[in-house]
Amino acid sequence: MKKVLTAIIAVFLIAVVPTDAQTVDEIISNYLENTGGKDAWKSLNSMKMSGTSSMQGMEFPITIYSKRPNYEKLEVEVQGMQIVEAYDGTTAWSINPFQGNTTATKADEEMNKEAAKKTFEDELLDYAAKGHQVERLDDAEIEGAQTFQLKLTKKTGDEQIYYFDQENFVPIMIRVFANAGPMKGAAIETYLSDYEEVQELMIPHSIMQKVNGQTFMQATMKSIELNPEIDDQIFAFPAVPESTEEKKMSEEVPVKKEMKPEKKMMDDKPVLIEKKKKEDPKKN
Amino acid sequence: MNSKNILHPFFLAITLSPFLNLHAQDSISISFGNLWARSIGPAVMSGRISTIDGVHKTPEIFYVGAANGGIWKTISGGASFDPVFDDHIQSIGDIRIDQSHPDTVWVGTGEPWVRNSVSIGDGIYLTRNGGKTWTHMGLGNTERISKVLVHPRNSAIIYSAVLGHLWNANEERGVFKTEDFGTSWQLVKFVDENSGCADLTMHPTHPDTLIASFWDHRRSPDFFRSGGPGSGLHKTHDGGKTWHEITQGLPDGQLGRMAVEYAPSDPNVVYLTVECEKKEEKGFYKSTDGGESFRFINGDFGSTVRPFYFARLTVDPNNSEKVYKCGLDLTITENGGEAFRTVSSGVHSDIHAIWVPKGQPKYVIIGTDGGGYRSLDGGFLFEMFMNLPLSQFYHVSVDDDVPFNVYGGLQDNGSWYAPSSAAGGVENSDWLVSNWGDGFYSFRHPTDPNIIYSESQGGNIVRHDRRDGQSKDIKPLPREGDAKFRFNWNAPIHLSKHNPDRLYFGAQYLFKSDNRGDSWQKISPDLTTNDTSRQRQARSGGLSIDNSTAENNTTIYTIGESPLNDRVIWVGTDDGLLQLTRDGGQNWTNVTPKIPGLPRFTWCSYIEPSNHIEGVAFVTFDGHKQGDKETYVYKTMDFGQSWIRFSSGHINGYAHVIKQDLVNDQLLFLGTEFGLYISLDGGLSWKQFANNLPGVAVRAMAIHPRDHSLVIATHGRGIYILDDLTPLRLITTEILESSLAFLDLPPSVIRLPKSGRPFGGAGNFIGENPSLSALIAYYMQKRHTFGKMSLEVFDEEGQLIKELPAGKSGGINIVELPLRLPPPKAAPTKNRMALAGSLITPALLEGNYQVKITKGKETFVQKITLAPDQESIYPEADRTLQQKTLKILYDLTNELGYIYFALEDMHKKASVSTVDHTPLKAELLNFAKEAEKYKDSLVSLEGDFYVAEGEEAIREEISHLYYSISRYPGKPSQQQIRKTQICKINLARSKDVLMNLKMKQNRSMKN
Repeated sequence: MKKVLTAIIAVFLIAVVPTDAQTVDEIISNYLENTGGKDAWKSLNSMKMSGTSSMQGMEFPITIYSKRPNYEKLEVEVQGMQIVEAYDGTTAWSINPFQGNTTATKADEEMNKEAAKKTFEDELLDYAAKGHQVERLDDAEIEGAQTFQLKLTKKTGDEQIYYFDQENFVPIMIRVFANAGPMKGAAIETYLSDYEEVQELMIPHSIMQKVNGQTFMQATMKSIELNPEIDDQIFAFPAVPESTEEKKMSEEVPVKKEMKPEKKMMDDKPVLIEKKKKEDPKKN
Repeated sequence: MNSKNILHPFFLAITLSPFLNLHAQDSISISFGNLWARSIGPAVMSGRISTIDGVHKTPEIFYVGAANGGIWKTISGGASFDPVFDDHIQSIGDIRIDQSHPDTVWVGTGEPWVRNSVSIGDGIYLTRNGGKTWTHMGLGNTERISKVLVHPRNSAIIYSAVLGHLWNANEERGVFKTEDFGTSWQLVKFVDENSGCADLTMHPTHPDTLIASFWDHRRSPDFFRSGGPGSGLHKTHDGGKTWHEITQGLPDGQLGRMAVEYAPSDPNVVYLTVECEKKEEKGFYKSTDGGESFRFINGDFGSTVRPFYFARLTVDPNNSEKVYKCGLDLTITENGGEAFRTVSSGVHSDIHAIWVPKGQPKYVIIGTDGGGYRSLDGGFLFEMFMNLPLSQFYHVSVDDDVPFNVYGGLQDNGSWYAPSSAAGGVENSDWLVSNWGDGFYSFRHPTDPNIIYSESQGGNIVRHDRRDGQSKDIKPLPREGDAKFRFNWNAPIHLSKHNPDRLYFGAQYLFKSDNRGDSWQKISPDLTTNDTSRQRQARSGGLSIDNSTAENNTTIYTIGESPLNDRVIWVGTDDGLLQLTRDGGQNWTNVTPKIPGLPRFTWCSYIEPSNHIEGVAFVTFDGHKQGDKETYVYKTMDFGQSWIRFSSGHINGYAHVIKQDLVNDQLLFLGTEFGLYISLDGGLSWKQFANNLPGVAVRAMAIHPRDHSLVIATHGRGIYILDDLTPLRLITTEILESSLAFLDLPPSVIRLPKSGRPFGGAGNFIGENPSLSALIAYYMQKRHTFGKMSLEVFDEEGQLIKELPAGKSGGINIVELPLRLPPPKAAPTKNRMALAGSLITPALLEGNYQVKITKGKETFVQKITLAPDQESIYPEADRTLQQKTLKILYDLTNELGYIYFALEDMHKKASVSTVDHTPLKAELLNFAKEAEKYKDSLVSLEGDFYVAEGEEAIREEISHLYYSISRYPGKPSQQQIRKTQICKINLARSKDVLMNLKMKQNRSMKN
């Protein structure tokens, strides 16, 4: 808390410089300082966020796990069913009963490639050392706030555009472009607000996403944990369960023979597909 | 920067207001926040495309440049397009991809097809990332760039063919060259201030060799001249250092607009079209010596038609003898011009752009006055891209149907109408035609829904009857002794607010009809200057006579009858006069001399008599056709005796239209060539509205008196609708002083969604419908960035109904409250329809709700009202029964979820118990099994969410029933109600089982 306050007072001094004169590096270092400092960001190794997301007028509980270097897992709870999207460092996979994927399904190669590009660490942190480039574009008004517009060109050639509120140097919008799938080429805008302190860091608790200008998802985080212990295993694409391990399956109902191995699920997590037995409810 | 704003984030909420100085003045400027305009098309009737370029190696990627609708990129061969240039000027001259770096694309702005309604550009742009971001690279005062060429081996070298200004002389035209990616430009070929470069072609293997065609031309409001001493063909061999004029084989005398193009596969072959003095020398030429000399090949209609509009050739890169010629129709030769075939196959007329990729000679993309098309058979049959909403409206009107319909006319594309919302969105098939020709004003009769008035160019007004689709020509005709009537290209029709059968129509005289146009009364003398030197339409065109009525001048252009008094009528003319009668046409006064700072002959583009005070009127003038791009907007408060001019400080573009709000007289809307501007303070200050509305020409607007919508007619992007003006109407200086203030919207009507036609694939445009949610609006002084901000909705008993993400924008925020309860906490299922059933939730009931916003430590509270749909065909008792039944099933779903998860919990606790007393452990395990078994019997977790679904359990029964009842807003069937009772009884049993198990569990645990 104190650290953030000091940082902001420090920025206050820097920020007296007319906005025009702000260089790319000043904007980025102000941002990092204002949100907790480079060191604090560097020592962040994992994060767990949980809250509520709303899509198409409905709200669902959501949990996001992330961990260095690029592990990520998103769980959305829909009516007792779970939607999962995850990346374990090599494989991007998902479970989405609403799209017919009732078991863990690998993403296609293109999507997998895209998932591999995302990193846990903020891309702006030591961007030059990472081989990225940042360029300042014309200032823009975003949601009624004047912003600095910085374009990050990653080493991979991918681009994202940050809009930093000129009053406090935190990003309030980030625009990226879909590189794969049917939305390829579409602008995806993430609006950030409700920045609050979590230990040493200032983290946005409210996230809204627009695709091609239309609101697609809004999430409000109720709790954010920094550096929680997260087992790498939770990100991993679920392996095919050993036949001997299956305790319940063996008992009453034979495993469906036609089921392809990769469609099977482990029975630890996620929870939605754990029973293979058949019961007649009318017996009760 | 205001240092006070750099405080600790928690204090940001109470930082000083930037609006404190508002006390001193009345100027109101705000951010429009997330107030949002939606586009409804049409795309079935698209609009003029000026240029196309694609990636030869991956021809599914191409860019379409519109006359006045920006740039659209596809990566799917046209299955879908994304607008990639919406932050920039919308008139596109030429697009050129650097084929060795296909993400590098140059765009010269300003359409080169210089018809009377053409827009203007502002220079050249570059993207290096396939259109994600653009950089302006200079040539800002060129207005029109006809061609851009990239050096094939050195991407830093670009040539830009600048056509230049159309309405006046300018020096910034000719061939420009950069050798440093556009950082600096050099004018390498200049002819004179009246002649621009209309076409430029590069030798396919020797890129320092180029041929430029120069064109001497000029437009004025009443005349067009193509051709003059400055026209000619010039060639360089050294990248523009030296040039020589090509004359061999070309006609003597003055030349006009010429297209010139190297055959990419044979550098000796160059094609040329020539506009010249002698008819027999006009036509298609060919060179076989690399462009040093030319030979006349063909003078057919397709080769000579309207050079100013069609002088462009595309030579198949795979075949030097196959040439595509733009024209009234697309014509194609396969033998170097000896013979052409004409493409029909339902393609729109007026072809301006053709692209054929290298290596794929049968793949042809074309752009026309009516949109884009693709051929896969070398140019025989074409299919249309039905997803490019580029329509160019001149005017717009609305009716009072529910939902209201929108009517308007389009450049070259007739008069159309469509509902403002439709099942599944406003689709291509929702748009219907009322008249053909170029379309302008179009209105539905105020009380007779079958009658639509429309017109085509030059005053051809018709009365269309929807019952049988026939139209009656109701154009006023001169009586014996009358002078010839002069109608503008875009002649004004005006409907009276005072008599549904009355309409006005303008030639040089004002006509009035009180019988739907069956007869007309002349109610004015000639209201124009009647300057005969401006009446030369029949001679217009220069080397090619172009007598299309497009240059008809000294005509009435706008008519405004006061909504408060039908004897007060204003008339504005295209030669700069503003006239007023206060006695229904007995006496007319020319008030133009009272208007300060208005140059002579400045076209009067729109007159808006006030809806609030009889003597007040707003008027716009547009001087761009005499080379004056200033914004002229005036207001009078005394019937034109004195005028104030609104400052054009924050306004860009010459003015087309101004509207005063029907409710708040301080709220004004201004349409200019570069977008929509809004003033909240009666015109003192203006701000561009760009929320989902690009900076496209706004030619006309209509405000719906019942639905409070602003309907925006753009000339290049179709119709946009700003659904509710109420938030803008409510902004006052008091509101601006509060950190957050609710804006009290009218009750939200509960409406049901309807399904559309979902299987048309990606290639069809679907316009967004208005939101079905209830809307909550508030103004916030600053964007909320730090600390918590939440929005909760409570019912009248104070029970929390919903928590919604709050809008965080500085300025106006609109939050959508979905009119449904949150989904119940349901037990899982693997039955698809059952899952759907528990996702659909009961509608919120009509009545009052309370909205509470918590922003940091402050809270703000507001009442909102949900109203029933007055149009609903279901009696209230039936609707109530449906809602009650749904509520029962909703509660059952919740209860079942509770039972299921309680059992799951029991099972878990029992099975992980650490008791090691063997008999007890066995008992616990048995218990665990029993709980699990019962739990599993409640739901169906078999199957694949599709056809391999398991047998239904109670979970699925409830949800299926729920789903079927929820789909019909009227009375549920007897069976449904009975089944609901059965579900209720079964669930009660489950509850008993749970209770028994609980008791057992307690006993076991105690042991």
